[in-house]
Amino acid sequence: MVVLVLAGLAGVFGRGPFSKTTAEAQGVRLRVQYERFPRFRTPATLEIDIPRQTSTQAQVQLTGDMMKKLSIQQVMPMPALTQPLPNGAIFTFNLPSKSNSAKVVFVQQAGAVGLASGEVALKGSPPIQFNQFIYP
Amino acid sequence: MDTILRAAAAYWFLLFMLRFVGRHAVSQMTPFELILIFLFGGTTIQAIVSDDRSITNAFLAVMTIGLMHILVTSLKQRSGKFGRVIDGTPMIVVENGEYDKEQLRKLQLQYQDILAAARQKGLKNIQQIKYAIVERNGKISIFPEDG
Repeated sequence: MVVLVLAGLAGVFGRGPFSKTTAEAQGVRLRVQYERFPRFRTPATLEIDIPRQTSTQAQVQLTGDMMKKLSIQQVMPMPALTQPLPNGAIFTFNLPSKSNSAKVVFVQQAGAVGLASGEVALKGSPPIQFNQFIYP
Repeated sequence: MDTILRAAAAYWFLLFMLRFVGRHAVSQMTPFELILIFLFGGTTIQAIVSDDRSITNAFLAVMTIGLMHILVTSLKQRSGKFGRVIDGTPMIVVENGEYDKEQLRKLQLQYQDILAAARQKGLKNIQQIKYAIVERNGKISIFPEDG
């Protein structure tokens, strides 16, 4: 029991330091911070650092199993436009003109348990792929 | 992680509060005192689970509280002083038919509580009691006068 509680403190069962991780796409400097172990019916965050764009808008594409198993409850800041895809959605954000990068946060909530795979991409760039395990 | 820290903090806080409100309340002798226990539990559980409604969260909270209980039990066995702080010591509240008013005040007990315990032993009044002792669990042990 001590081991399980210590593992819980570390975040092995979600919501701890070990649960949060970062994936990066070197070519486009896109960075995604996600939770390895979200929990069923519990808010989880997906933070995306968007590098400086040539235009004042960035299009972020979220696809994969994750979009079915983790519903998006909130997006900060609000996207200027949302376009549905068969397996996800494209979110268009207005960027601050003088900023090097921008951060967008998706608050998700798991409606299913088990493995979920996700892909995040800036439109036209190769995606960042990651896997999550949703605890019941 | 947060749930484990909140559950551990809640355990120690409730332990302190239950000691603070007195043994009588913990022994749940009347509906008045039962309310206290219900509300303590009900209010604390919301703070422990927060916005996390998963069964994983519930299991972690239960395991943490179980672990805290094992820790306190172990500390009580190792240290008599710690045991006295956590559980208190038996207190004599009636001796040879006389109330110890100071002890009753400290334990937040009323005369009626002693008499209620005495009636369960078939005794009708205070003069028939040699000793009344409030045990660590809040129960009142009655020893009748000889003869």
